[in-house]
Amino acid sequence: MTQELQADALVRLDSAVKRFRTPEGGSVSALDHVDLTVGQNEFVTLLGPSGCGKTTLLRCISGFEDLDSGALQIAGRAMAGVPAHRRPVNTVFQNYALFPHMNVEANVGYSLAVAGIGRDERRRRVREALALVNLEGMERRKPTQLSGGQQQRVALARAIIAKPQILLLDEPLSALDRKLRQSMQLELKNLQNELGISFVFVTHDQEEALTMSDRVVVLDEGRIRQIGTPTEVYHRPASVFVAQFIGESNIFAARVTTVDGDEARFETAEGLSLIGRAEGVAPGDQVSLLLRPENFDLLAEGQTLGPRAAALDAKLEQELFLGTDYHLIVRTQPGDKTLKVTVRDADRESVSGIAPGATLRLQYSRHRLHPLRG
Amino acid sequence: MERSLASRRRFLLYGLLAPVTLFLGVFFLGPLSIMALFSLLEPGLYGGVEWNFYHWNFGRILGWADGLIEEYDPVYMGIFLHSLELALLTVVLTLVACYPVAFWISRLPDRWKSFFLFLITLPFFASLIVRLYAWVMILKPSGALNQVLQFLGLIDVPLEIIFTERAVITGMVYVMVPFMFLPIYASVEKLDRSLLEASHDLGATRTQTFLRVILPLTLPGIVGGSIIVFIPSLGNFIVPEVLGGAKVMMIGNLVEQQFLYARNWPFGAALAMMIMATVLLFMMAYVTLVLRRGDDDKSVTV
Repeated sequence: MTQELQADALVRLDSAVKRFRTPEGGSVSALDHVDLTVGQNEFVTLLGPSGCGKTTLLRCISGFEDLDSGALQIAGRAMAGVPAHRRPVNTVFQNYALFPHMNVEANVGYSLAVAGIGRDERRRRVREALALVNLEGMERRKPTQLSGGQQQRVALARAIIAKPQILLLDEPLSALDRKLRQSMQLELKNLQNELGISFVFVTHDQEEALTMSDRVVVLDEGRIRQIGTPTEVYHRPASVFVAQFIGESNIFAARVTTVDGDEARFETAEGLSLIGRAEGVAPGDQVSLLLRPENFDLLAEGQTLGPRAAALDAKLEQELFLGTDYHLIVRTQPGDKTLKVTVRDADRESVSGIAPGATLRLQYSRHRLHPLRG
Repeated sequence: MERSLASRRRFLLYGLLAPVTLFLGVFFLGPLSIMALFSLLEPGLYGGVEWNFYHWNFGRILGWADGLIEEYDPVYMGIFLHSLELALLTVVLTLVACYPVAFWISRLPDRWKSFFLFLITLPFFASLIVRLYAWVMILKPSGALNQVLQFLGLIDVPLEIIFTERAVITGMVYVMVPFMFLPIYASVEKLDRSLLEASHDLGATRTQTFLRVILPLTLPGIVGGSIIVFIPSLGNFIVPEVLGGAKVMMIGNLVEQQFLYARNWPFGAALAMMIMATVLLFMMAYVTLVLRRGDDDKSVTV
């Protein structure tokens, strides 16, 4: 699949480097030899903590920043020295950047107006674009007379009206409240399918990244930590950083004791003995182990272990009710390692005597325990 | 008695507005009414006024003269129009000087910004008269400017600048630059850079971005600055007095002469009324013309 995408890559970054000077006089790498391709009609998310270089990467593609070294191609054309207004990309800005002195119609039709397209056609296409984002009839309003969600839609309509080959979105949903954000996520995804153009979406919200993307690019300190589908980066993170950044995680430092086929035994630093996948590990290796909170189940008294499961004992410290789930904070016995455990409401009901201080028996799926390097 | 929140708020508002209203009423509206009244009264023989209606004050300026004493002479109208020209030229030159500088300063790091803003306001720390005499020193035939130009071999004979119109324009622009700069800077500083990026991103060239985004959004500053510069420029009499010598006379000098030397208060008052009427007309025309595009709720904040 990766090969296929590279063949007709719409955006291709080769060893892109961008450095910024810090106020102290030093320099910091915003992009450190980044290789990335974006395919036709692909939804790629750049995910990372603030300052990881994701916005810089976007700005390099849109043409607001120059690369210090490396190459950028868009649709087969080298972009070095091509100014922003001649690139086949449009951007949805984080703060929307709507022109306050223009009404919605003028804002949305801006790219057509500067391209010299006549008034009638402009009108018609503005109406179409507004229909795409469900804002019919708002042409005469000023940006200040719109809600945050509506402004967001105007920004979106303005960016897609000229039919760019790539739409860049710089944390466009970060200013919206949770409910609105979730419905906009869906709409964006649908819009991308409808338009058939590539989206490069920047976010620091891992949930957003997992929900919407075809591929997720995890960035940290200017370097790509992992590129993969949402399931890949969630279930098979390439490093402890990725595991911790995406989703909730329990990480153990451990040593491989024995390897038996595709399973291995691990001895954690706390003295726990765990069983999990033997992915490229050999006895004696030092690894980190990942177990997601939802990989645990509560074992009722007398209940036998499931197939391919292993068990450990833990003391309950605290429990939080989250609606569909319970979130438990437990300490392993022995080892006294704090773990996060998520159990279904129904599962919790089936086990009696759950109270802070009680000892619980937890089982985990052995094939969900991943050894990580680094 | 219990008072509602709304009435409390109204009470507070009136209380806060009262002092300034009283002040302006006594010290602005009062004298202004006296001047308006005097402009329609007969001048006294030895100064002061006779309490008779007398429209020839305006007639002398606008075209009908008291045929018994004097013929109509367009000299006053000439001075008036010439002052108008100089004032408009001052507006244009200060605008051209300040607009790019405002952009440049607004892009600087914060501490340099405050430093340059301090420099812009620095002239206010010294008396205007002192600063204008400094310009006399600079512009006179043996002054700094001519010496430098001669030293560089650019000219052989000192330039005749002082006591010409060029000197007056130089002085007016110099005096008015801070007044133009500050409103423009305020609107340029507010300009959101991401709007410029959005414009480029949507395919606009630099010129298009300037005309469609930057100019309309900084227009309130330009209008504000132009008005603040135009008003004192039209009535200015100190700058032409010091730098223009006897050769350049502006309407302000004429008013000053009528009050202080000719002791013809009604005629001076009529001239002053002319300045005021012109300023009002220009302001109204300018504001409606320039801001017609902002056809809705947006009002100019000067």
